[in-house]
Amino acid sequence: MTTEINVAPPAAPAPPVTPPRKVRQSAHWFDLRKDIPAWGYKTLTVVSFLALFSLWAWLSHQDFVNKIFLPQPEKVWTTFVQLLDDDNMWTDIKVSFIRVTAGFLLSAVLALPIGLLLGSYKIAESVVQPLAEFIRYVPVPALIPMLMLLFGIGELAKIMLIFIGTFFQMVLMVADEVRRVPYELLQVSYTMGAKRGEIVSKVLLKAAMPGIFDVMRLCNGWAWTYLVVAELIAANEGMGYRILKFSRFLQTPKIFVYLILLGVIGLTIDILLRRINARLFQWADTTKR
Amino acid sequence: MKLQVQDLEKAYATRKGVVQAVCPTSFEVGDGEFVSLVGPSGCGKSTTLYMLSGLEEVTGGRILLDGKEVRGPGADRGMVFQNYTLFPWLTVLENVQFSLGLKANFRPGEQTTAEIMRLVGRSYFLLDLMGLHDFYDAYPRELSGGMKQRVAIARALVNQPKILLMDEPFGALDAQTREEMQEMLALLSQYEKTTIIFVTHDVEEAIFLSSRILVFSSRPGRIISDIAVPFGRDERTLNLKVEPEFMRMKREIMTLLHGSQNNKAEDRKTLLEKLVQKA
Repeated sequence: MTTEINVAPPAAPAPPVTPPRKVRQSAHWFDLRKDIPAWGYKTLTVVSFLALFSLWAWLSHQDFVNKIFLPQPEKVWTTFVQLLDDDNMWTDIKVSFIRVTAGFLLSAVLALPIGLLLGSYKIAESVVQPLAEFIRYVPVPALIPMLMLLFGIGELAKIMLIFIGTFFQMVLMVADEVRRVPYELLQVSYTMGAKRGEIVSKVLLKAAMPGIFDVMRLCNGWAWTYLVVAELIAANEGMGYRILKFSRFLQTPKIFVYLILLGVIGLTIDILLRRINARLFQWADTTKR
Repeated sequence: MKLQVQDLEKAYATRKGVVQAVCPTSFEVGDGEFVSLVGPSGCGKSTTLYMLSGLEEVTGGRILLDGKEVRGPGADRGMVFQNYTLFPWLTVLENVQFSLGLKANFRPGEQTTAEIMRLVGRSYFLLDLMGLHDFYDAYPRELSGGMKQRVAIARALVNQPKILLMDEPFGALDAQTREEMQEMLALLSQYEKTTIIFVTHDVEEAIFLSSRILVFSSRPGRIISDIAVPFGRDERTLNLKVEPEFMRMKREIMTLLHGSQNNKAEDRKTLLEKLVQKA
């Protein structure tokens, strides 16, 4: 007995990319971790900003709200226009930006190698990690007297405060990124003849780099939050110092201008760093779900 | 090349006592052999392979490669893992050439430029052999599972290790890709004449690829059979899998494997019957 097997004649293969046409695609607005349409994402972002703004505008025009505590948007706008001609504002932005960036860069330059060692060698972890965890919990403003004793009241003290505020978090987070590198990548390197030092520099560092860059982006945000604290130390310019001064004279419209400026600066740096990350590490799978 | 394994043993100290993962095991592998280790899951075949690679510590016995005892991992024993282990930040070609840049393998004083150039040429040759000539500059995330494993094999072979250790390298692939990969590996081993030790739980795969099969018992693992596969290296095409002789061999080995598990199956059957009666 034989079995007949019918074989269909081969069909012409379909080309992988065909000219554009309408393809039905359903949107997944509420699916867990799934992308929503780009226009929807952008619209909702704009709406959330507008909502906050409207709430502010509405509240500030109510009788039960004291205008000294919540200035009206139009008042803030005119104040902003006035301040544009004020050299102080530009100096404040410049000085603060340099302080934050200097403190942040110092953190980054030291946290990268130390964090790499911490994440690679348990012996380094046992020495540094508990210590770093301990210092991490000390409130940074409480260190101001010590910092003034050690570094005086000049620029250095302010930069060091921002450094201390970010460094210990950063070291621990960098180490965590290094630990997240799959152990198999180490194993396969060993079987190719790699030595430990080579694995640290050629495998662990390279594999953890996109994550480390993201850590840096987050820590840069934190560095900005320490600005006001840093400028408590005998400052006579800078955005944090100026906000404190405005509040002493109840100049809330000016405070609002500075707060919004800080937000805008932070958001700009954040978007910029995200872009650089995506550009530098194209090999990484950025469609995290 | 000669690999001698003498009374190799693995035991773990746990709170309940010492767990024997691999009983003292001895075997030898000669030049150009393709040896598969098969056995039920948890029998210690992978542990044995990891001990040979030096990634897992040996708790008894010794491993001799060309008469010299090996300790710890080294470039003389290449390895391909079940999981994908390509470096995601390197392109396919850079992955394959990774080992050429390591201190252990790149010795400008001792090696002539011609030697180094030969190894570089070899990286291209191996990729071409695996049908990856269009993917030199692709990143691993752009590759399918089968392609990733092909790159991993090329990467392990580029430095001409004395022996290639493979831990269920096709275990994560779908059935069709798996067969393609088996054919490719059969062809490759015919070409390269590399000595290979291959761990798998797929009996068919083991017969298809190997010149010799070591069958492990269930835990604690020990070798219960050492079987020579009678097929020549040029006979390894997918047609082989339906030859009567091939099927007979498969049945023989499966009986061996199940023999060590039969009691368990019986127990489960009676338990199931009891439960059904109760319900």
